[in-house]
Amino acid sequence: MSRARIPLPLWLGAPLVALALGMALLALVWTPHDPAALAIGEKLRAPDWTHPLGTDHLGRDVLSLLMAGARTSLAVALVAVGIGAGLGVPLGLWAAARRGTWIDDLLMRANDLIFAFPSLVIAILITAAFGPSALNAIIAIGIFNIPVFARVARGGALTIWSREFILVARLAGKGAARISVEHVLPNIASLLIVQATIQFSLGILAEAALSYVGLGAQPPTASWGRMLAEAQTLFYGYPRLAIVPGLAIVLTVLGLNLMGDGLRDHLDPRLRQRAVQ
Amino acid sequence: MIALDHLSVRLDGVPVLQDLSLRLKPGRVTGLVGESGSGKSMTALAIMGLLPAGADLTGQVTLDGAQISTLPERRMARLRGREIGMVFQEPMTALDPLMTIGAQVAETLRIHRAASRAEARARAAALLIRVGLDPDRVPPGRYPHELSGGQRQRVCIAMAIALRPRLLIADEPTTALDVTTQAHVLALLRRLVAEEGMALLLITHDLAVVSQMADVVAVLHQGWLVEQGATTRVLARPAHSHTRALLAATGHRPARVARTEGAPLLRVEGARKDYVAGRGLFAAPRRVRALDDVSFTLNRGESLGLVGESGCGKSTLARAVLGLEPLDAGHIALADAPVSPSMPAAQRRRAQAVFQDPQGSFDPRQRVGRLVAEPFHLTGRPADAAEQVIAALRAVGLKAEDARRYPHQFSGGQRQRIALARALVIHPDLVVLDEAVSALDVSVRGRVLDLLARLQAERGLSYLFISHDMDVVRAITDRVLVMEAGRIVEAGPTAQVYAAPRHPRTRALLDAVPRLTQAGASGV
Repeated sequence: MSRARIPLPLWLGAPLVALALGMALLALVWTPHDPAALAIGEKLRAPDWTHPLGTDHLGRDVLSLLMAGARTSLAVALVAVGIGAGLGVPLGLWAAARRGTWIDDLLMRANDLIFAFPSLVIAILITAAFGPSALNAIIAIGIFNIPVFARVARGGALTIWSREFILVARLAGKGAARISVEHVLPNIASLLIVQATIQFSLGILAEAALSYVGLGAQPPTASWGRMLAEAQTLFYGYPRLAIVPGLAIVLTVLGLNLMGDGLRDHLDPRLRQRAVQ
Repeated sequence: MIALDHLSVRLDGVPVLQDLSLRLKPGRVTGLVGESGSGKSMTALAIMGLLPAGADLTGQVTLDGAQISTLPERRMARLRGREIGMVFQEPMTALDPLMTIGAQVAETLRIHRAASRAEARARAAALLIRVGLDPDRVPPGRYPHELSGGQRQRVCIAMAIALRPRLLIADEPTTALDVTTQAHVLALLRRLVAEEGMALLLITHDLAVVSQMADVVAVLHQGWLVEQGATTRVLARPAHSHTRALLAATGHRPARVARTEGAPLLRVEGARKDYVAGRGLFAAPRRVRALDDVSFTLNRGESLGLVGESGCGKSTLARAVLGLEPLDAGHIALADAPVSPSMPAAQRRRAQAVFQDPQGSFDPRQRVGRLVAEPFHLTGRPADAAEQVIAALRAVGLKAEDARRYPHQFSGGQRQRIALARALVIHPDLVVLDEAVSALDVSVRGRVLDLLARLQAERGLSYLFISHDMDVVRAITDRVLVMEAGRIVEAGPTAQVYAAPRHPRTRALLDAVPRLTQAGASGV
């Protein structure tokens, strides 16, 4: 049997994601200039050797802002996915283990309740109520990830629970919690990984949207959404200032979606072309 | 007439079919037999032009002298269904769950532009009647999930013969069905061949089915056609050693000493279990009685058979005995202690099980060593757990290094051996074998039965052997229970029940078993 080929979307998506991640990680230790340093005299410079992407209306280096913004955007999205998966997956596993009982009904109806609200509007409500900050943005986006992960985990777990090897595990005296962790979770892991990449890209978009309307990261913290918001009034004179963060968002989200698709094809044996023995 | 001439198929360079020549004449049933992996299904796919990517075909397939193996896919697609029909093993997956059966049969006619919409519908209805689906009981407006396995297979047959093809290929058409249903479907196929004058290529691993159905038989072994000829001649005087081996495996009974005199181990008294079925939004819940006042005793060292059609309550009873599901009424005791879903580990360890599906009964993400060690959860993991796992693997004929491999790296028979090793690793008193050999090839089945008999003799094990296969139950059990609709309708020593069945259900089950008729055979 030959090794399964790596699907094309994965080839295209992974480098884009790696680029964004690389930028964010590099920004932790080094940026070409201080992204918060104002230099009015240097404002709105065209790209040159000292400022590869030019400067903005306050004279800040756009490349440095982009790198620091990547750090904020990815961190917010990553923690939000963590909150969603960390709470949603156990809830989904629990519902599947108690399928058909009132616990399952209760959990899933609570899920529906959260789903019923337009997520971004509620996120705006939360950040408006508790004050705009990156932390509140994380919490708001994270809460809306919980039902997504709960539903995916429950759906995947239900098919695993109907398999015979679960019967064998019960025969070995294992309880529902143990079976969920030992047998169900590893078998739905690929499903969850794919969902995580999709939620990750949605998280980046949500963070950008919240920052754009001023409810996310606050100055002087850089963020792609804030860069877009600040470039808005200068768009006709200096389109570069909007295009740079806009392109960063689009390419990162595209990369994550491609990677999600590719991972699904790669990890799901049903979609992989099966080699006949 | 369809002819295969010097057909060879390589899959990624590995030969799977070698120099196969076969004539499929109208009105004749050709049986193609062999073990799994012998190239049977590959032959069918080669004829249909449906070989997987990476397959390389040499030689030719001709339809009335015209070569079809080199036709482009578009012309081949037109040929499929119109000239060659096919019936698969698993009727549920072969049907679209969202289309009514009438619409599916009509669609076949419509795709090939053989009829207008109204005409197709009328012809579909007529076809469903022809395959034995009474429109009063199974109207064309039904969906596949509302049908039994046998009825679904009839729908598949109706679709396959809708355009009156010249060749019908049936790939293990009855392997997923009960004995009684199998008998009906086989009779239907035979009738259709006679009425339509089409050729039937019947692919099976069961020589008994071939002996009842086929005019001509071809035996495949590792991709080679080792023997072909008139069925009566091949079965009576097999020329090739592999044919003889297959014949020997078909009627194989492991040598074992009957034991019925031990002390009672398992006692089931008045067991009753209801299921709620069809819980609709407005409909009142309908209760289905899966177990109805079931009582029996299983003695130590005894092997007790439990036979019946699917849906008769066999598996429900097995789960209750294993303490996986609670009873609604009645009482189960194993070694004089009660059995229930909440029983302590010390009681639970007395009974272990082997299930039917060699594929589904292992977590695909764990290695064999860890899978076999799973029951240690009941006893606490002993210090020498790894050694005990290896000993258990050796006892079932596997090697120590197999513990490091994954279940998908084993064949079906080997996987059932692993399942047996897992059941035996904590030394239970009772092993419940729920259709444990039903999914296996005849020859593999024979070896697993031998293993079961040997382990029983060595360890004094008791078996509860659940199966719809009457031959297997006769081979391995001392006493037998016959179940119908949740009740035990007949019980007694196996030999006696088989020789003189008293209940009509028992007689029906026995009559439906395909018999291997070997006129003039000796010593088998």
